[in-house]
Amino acid sequence: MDETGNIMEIWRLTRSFGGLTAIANLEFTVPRGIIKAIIGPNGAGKTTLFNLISGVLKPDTGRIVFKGRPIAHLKPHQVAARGISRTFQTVELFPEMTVLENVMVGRHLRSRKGLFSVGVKLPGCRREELDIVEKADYFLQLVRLGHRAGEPAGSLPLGEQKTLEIARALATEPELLLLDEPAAGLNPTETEAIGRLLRDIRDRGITVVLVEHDMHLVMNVSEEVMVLNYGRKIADDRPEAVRAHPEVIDAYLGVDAHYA
Amino acid sequence: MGRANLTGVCALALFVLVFPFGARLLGVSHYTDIMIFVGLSSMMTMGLSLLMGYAGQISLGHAAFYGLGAYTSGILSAKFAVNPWLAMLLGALLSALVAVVVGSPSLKLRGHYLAMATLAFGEIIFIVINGWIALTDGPDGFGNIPSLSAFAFGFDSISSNYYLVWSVVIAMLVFVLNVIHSRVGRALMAIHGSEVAAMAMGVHAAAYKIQIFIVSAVMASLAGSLYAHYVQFINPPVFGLFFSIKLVMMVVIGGMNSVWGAILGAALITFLPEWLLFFEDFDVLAYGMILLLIIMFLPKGLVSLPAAVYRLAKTGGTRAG
Amino acid sequence: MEGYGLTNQLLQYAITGVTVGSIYAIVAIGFNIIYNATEIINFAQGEFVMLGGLVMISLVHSAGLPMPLAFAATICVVTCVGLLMERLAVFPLRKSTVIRLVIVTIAVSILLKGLAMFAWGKNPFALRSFSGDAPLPFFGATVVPQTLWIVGITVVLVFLLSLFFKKTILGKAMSACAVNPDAASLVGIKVQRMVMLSFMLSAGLGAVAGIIISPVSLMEYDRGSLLGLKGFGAGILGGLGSSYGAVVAGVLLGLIESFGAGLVSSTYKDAIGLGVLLLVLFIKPSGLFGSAEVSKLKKF
Repeated sequence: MDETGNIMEIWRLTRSFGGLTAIANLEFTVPRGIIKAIIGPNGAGKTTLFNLISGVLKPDTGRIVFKGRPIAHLKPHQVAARGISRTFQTVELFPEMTVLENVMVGRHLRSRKGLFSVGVKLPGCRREELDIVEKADYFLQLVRLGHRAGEPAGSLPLGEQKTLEIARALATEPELLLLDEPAAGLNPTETEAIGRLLRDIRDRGITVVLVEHDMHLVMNVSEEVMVLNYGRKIADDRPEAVRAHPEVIDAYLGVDAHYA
Repeated sequence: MGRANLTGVCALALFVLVFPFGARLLGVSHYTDIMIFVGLSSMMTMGLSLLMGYAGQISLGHAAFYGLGAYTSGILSAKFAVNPWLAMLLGALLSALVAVVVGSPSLKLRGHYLAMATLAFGEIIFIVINGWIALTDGPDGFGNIPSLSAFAFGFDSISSNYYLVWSVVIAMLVFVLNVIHSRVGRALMAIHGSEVAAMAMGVHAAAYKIQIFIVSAVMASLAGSLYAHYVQFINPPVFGLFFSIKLVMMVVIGGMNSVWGAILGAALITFLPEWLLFFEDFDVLAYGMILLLIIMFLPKGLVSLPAAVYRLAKTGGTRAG
Repeated sequence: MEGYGLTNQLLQYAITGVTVGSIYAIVAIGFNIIYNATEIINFAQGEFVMLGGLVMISLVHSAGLPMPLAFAATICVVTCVGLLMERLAVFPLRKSTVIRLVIVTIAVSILLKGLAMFAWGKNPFALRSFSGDAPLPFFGATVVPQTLWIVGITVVLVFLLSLFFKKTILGKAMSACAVNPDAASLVGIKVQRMVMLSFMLSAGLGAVAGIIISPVSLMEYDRGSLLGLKGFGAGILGGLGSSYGAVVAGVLLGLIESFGAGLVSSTYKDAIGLGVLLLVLFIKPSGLFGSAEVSKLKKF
């Protein structure tokens, strides 16, 4: 257990692609139980950061410490098993499976039966399957998509697809949830619903880190905001302080900060 | 596995049960022999459909496992007097081992590269079978393979082999359907749908791909063993490149994403020579044409035909395929 | 005197290796061209070679056409086959999944094989050598005139191709499409036309390979698969996308196979080449001259 009250700590993280440095000597912490937003102009390295944390990419240098243990060397499924779940900037649902089945995949980590057991239907399989359905349904209801349970996931409108992705990630019962632009492409009403959902998630004890462009949502919902520019941290503070930060204003100069 | 599938299994079992009698009644009793080969091919196509349709991986060398099973069974039982059941088991173990050795590096490749790797692997096995004359008698093949027997009952006749083979097919079908409708099946479909998301949900993609590869290899191996003990003579041509491609053809034509499609495809392709006269000279051409038409216009296979027709009727044919 | 004999043997193997390696090189370049334009591996590439050989044989031996005319006509015919393949089978599926594209080229390869079996039957055929069969002495080994043709034509072909891609507008346009199709179409290059040309060019190249090899080793309806597979192996070994790599790798593969057959075992000759292919795929799929970063970026 981590004594500092931080669920995650990033130390001197660096990652380059060929000649391009996407993340440069990045260091920050994520206190347990808050909502932390990461903002910055496009190309600032935000999705790369998520990919590094979730194990999709390996850092060139640096450490990622989660609940007191290093995780930078782990593969994505191992990172998930440690308690980190995520969504993706371009929605990565399983389009041919139903909405409910998508969330059921989220229960994979919380179930155990292997290939042989399920093939010959050993005792306990039925019970586990019922449990998976029940829990998946719970998370689907949580995000108010229960009425879509039997539809193919690919047929949902974008806003609901994004919400479904969140439900699927929640079904893994993570301690840390990484959300990559959960409000991108959503209208103000939908964005507000996402905001309420995020607060609900935090109130259940899950730490949330989100990458977002919608400043309204970010300022409303986060307790901490970190600003990245060209892979470097230029601010990491409470939302009001960040908003007034001269370097931040500089980085965003000429860019309309409200995406609606 | 769902009520629909359960009904399907029972219906298939019933059909299989009465088929020989119906065939005899209609004067086509040799169809029973053909059905044995449909059954053997089904074992392989079901495994391939799991691999291709659900896990989204391609194998163009599966005839190699058929060959490994047949030759292990044949060599051990004919030349070393090993009990045929034991020989079959050993063949399955060998195939599983080869699947791990070849599959582990191969399944890290994707798409075209994986296809080529499995193609190369299949060819290498074929060349070895052809070339290792001391062990396999090379191109001539060898006979005197004993048939299987249980409690003094020998599986010598067409009928007994027919029921044996189809019992195994139905058992495998139940197994596969159970897997599909489980967390493992969903994990496989997730890998196919979006591997990166599946991994993010804790699905160990590489491990599952290998497991399915091994299962499909074992299924093919068992089919090969049953083949050897039925025909009691084996030679290399059966296990070559073209059969591997034929298996993929069966899966695609029947329907990649459906275990029922796998059986349908196996039945159609196996019976094709029977139904098309003068097939001999045209067979390769016919196969190519059918595969091309299906993959272009009905990529989900014949099993999706009812749904496609329904959609077409509903929208008056104006929607893009 | 024994050492002298061995050297001769080795030289003979080397000659065979370079000869057959030239063919692999041409097939590999054919794979490269289509792969560069489309990121598809054309499973029917070997069939272009097979068709080149068989069509040439028919034109020369059945229709009695003079060789140069038959050569040109064969290339035209097979190039048309490549065009048809692209227009009818590949273009409609251009936005489809990898599995579907793999299967469509497999389907075409089976179709072409079936057509060949229908037209020519299952027997192998031989083509008359270009300038006779009298073996020529070569530092203690012997060289058949056809070998000189094969190596010579390969060299000329590679040279012409590199001129084409570097100096002509069309060639440069094709290269541009390979590197960045979006940018290419922005400057007015019709990407689809380049894809079409790539299939035609690959088919024509395959035909040449088939024509020049047929006098040395016979041609039959199902030779395409193994040739295609080994040519692909050479392409991978050299690094898909690198034409010089394809040549080096082709010759290397031919030499490995030839020495393997001569020194180790001729029964498993084909398995050696395929084994090399597997090793490359497992250990370094980007090949000898490709870059790992580039090959990771290419989606298969």
